[in-house]
Amino acid sequence: MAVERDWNRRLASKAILAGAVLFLAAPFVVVLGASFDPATGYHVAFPPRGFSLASYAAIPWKYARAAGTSVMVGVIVAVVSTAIGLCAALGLVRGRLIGREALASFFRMPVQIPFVVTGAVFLQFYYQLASLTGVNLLNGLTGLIIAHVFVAVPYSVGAVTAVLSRFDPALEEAAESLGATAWATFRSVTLPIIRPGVLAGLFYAFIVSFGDIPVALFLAPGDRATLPVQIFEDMQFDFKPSMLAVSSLIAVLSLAAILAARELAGFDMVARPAHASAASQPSERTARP
Amino acid sequence: MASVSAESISKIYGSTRVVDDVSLTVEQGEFVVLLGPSGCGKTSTLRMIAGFVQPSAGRIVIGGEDVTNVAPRLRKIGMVFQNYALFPNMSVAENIAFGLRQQRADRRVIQARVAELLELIRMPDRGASSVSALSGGQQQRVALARALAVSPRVLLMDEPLGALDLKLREAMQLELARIQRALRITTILVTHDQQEAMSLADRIVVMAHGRIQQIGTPDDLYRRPRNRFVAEFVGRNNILRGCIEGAGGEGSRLALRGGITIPVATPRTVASGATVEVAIRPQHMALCGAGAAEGSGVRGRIEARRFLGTAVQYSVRLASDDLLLVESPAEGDPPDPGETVCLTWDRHRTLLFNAEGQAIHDPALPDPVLHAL
Amino acid sequence: MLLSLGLLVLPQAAFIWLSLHADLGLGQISDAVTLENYLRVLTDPFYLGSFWLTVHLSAAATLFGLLVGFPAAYALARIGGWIATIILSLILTTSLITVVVKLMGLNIILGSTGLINTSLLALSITSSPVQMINNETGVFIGLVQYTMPLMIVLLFGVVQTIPVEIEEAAAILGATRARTYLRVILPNARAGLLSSGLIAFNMSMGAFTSAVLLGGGRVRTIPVLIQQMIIQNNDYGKGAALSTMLVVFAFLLNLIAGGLLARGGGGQTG
Repeated sequence: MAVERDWNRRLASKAILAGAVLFLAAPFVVVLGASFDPATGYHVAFPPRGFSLASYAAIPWKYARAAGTSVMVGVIVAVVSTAIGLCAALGLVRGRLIGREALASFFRMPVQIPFVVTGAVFLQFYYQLASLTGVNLLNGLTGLIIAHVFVAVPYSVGAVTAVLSRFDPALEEAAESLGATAWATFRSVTLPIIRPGVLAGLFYAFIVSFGDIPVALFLAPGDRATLPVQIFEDMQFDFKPSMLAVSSLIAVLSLAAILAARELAGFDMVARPAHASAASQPSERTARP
Repeated sequence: MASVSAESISKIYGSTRVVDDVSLTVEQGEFVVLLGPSGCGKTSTLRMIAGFVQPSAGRIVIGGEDVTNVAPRLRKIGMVFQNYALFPNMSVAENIAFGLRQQRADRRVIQARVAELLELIRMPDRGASSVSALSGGQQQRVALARALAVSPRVLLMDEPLGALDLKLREAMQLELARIQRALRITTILVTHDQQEAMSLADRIVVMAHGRIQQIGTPDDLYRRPRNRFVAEFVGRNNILRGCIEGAGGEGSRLALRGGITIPVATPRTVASGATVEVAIRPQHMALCGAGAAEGSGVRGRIEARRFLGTAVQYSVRLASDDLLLVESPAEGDPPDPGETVCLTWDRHRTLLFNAEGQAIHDPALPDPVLHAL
Repeated sequence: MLLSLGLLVLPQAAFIWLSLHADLGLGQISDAVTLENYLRVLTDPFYLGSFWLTVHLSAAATLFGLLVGFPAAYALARIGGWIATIILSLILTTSLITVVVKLMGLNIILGSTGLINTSLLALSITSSPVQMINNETGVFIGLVQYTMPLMIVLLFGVVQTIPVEIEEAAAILGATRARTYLRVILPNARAGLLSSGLIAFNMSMGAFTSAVLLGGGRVRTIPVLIQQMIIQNNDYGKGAALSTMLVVFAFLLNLIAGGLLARGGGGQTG
């Protein structure tokens, strides 16, 4: 069917696709381009009028500090929520639990709640907790981390479940029949095989935490803003070209991280959405403003 | 090596009896095949012996030791799974070594044993291969080697050849038989393929609806099926149902629908008027011209003809509307579809079942097994 | 097994516990006037207006997203192979990078001295800059940017389940391309379109950052109001009431759509 492969087929759809890709990529291209403009003032120029790294040199220290905060929170959130996600997924896929479906949808619930609401609810809760017990989680980053774990768990569960549901239980029986203990089976058979799912869970949980603004806006202490929050606030009140440089760095490093994750972990970001249920899609909320 | 017994084991899920009071003993070194259609309980029985399924009632005894409540990993059994269940994250050699690793065997011992098994399955150079690079037949052999590496007391196999194509399956049957005979390991294999069961088993256990229908050698099952189910499942049989007419013995006739009768040999214990079923194997029937003596056979019209190579298979419709399969040697000028022919058979090679499908035996009649020899 | 069961239930239990506490918190702050808060929110034209604004912006962004996203996903699925994989990864990547970067780019493109306005002025199409940010248009564009990547990825999965053979069958039976599209492809993708649209709508309803940065504080959707109530006005009662309204609305919508999907027997949820 040579005709079927012909590039002239479905031209209208392809034109729309090209437009959509252009539309989606444009903001990043513009930010990256403008970051090389030699201007130092408040004016942003695209296309850039020259090539200069001035805006990169002018990046203030607060962004590095914010980046540190974001990465630290992100890593802790990724590890904790994936640990919970792994156990939950094992229970959901393996356990012959009564009302497994109900539990699964229960687990996806945080996805249905807007981040703003989650932030507000946790803020309320922490105030309550502080007035009842004197423990103020809002002083440090603990409160933010707990809230991020809450929103990231569904993604971790989804990522691990997707791999686990394709896992052949006979593999574990085979290990058991060969004399392996439950722990040895898990360590040498189950875990290595579901590793892509676990890594994807870590990755998505980190992305959810790193990309979040509304929750961190409520819960991060004033002096420990996360990177997106720092940029968010400066964009409203104090725009400087160095922010273009920071944003460009975020975009480029994110892209590199995503590519590296694909190569190293071997999980396929694209194949997943076609198979897993829509409501458990990690990407769904990763960029929620 | 050890013997295996299941003592009145049952498995009940909700209100379904998947396995219903099954008892069987497999002798040391014996090759037993559990045969039956899907859903007959054969796999559940095997999984109870392996320990993956806990019996609702009854005991499992391996080598004289009650293992009903012993975890699978402590039962010292080897198991080959339906889709092999090779560990995709390990090489061929690592797969084979897995069981020995669990026993914390010495590294050199493991290496030697892996080499020995690779030799046994005739894949000496493939130890480093990834399992996904192997063909189906090779994966099957690696799965077997992995199960045998720990020198299990019993080898269990769940449809081990089911995923292979016909040619490969036949080759692997020979291979399995060779290895089992070389090691003299007590083996239980589950299959739904009666040809596979016949060619491998010392004894076959035929199961249906969670119950054992018959246990016997392949020859036994073929020649002396205990009931209609076994007669139809093991080899092919034409079943004709009707009423006995006339006195019992050599001169009886069976009245079919449409007013036609066929000759049968019945024991004297079968009364006139009793409803019985007669089973006649296709290859025990012969075709003759339409004019042949009416009393010794039955007439029918050929509906279809299939060439099977050495034999020709005919579908013949009787006036009673029964459809019979007849196989006769492919020689001479075979009759065409549409022709009316006469079917004859040796009355002593037929099997007789009562209305409930149970075989009717008569010690006064010649033994069908001896007769066939 | 018990351990994983425990860990499975724990976050959920914690969530319920938290939400209960949030309600108690609300009660504590305004004590007996809890319901009054809801009543005030539900009868004040300002809040109702904000609610309507949020709904119609979200609906518009979802509709536009489907109109563009479906043909794009369709083209992608039919192109197939590694080209589709790369383009799809690219699209997905744009949604994985934190949204502020994207919004900064949009500000540059849409601003009064931005790329589009400079071009329009240079070509003398307009005499003065067209206002595209700090108003509803800006938020609309932001919501489309926000939801479209996932929409395309989900719809790609939907189109993949529609075999190309049924298009060929339609063509052999004499259908034109347009007719095939309308009468064969779209009906088969209906369930997928509905569920993808619902997800995009949910996302838009809860979108905060896009609304703030592209609305310039002037477009007050419900999520923006919630944040302003709590952080700037310290009015926890109204903030909580608005939050509850938003969640209940989303929940009811999902319930209705779920019912529709189940009744349509649509297997393709994307």
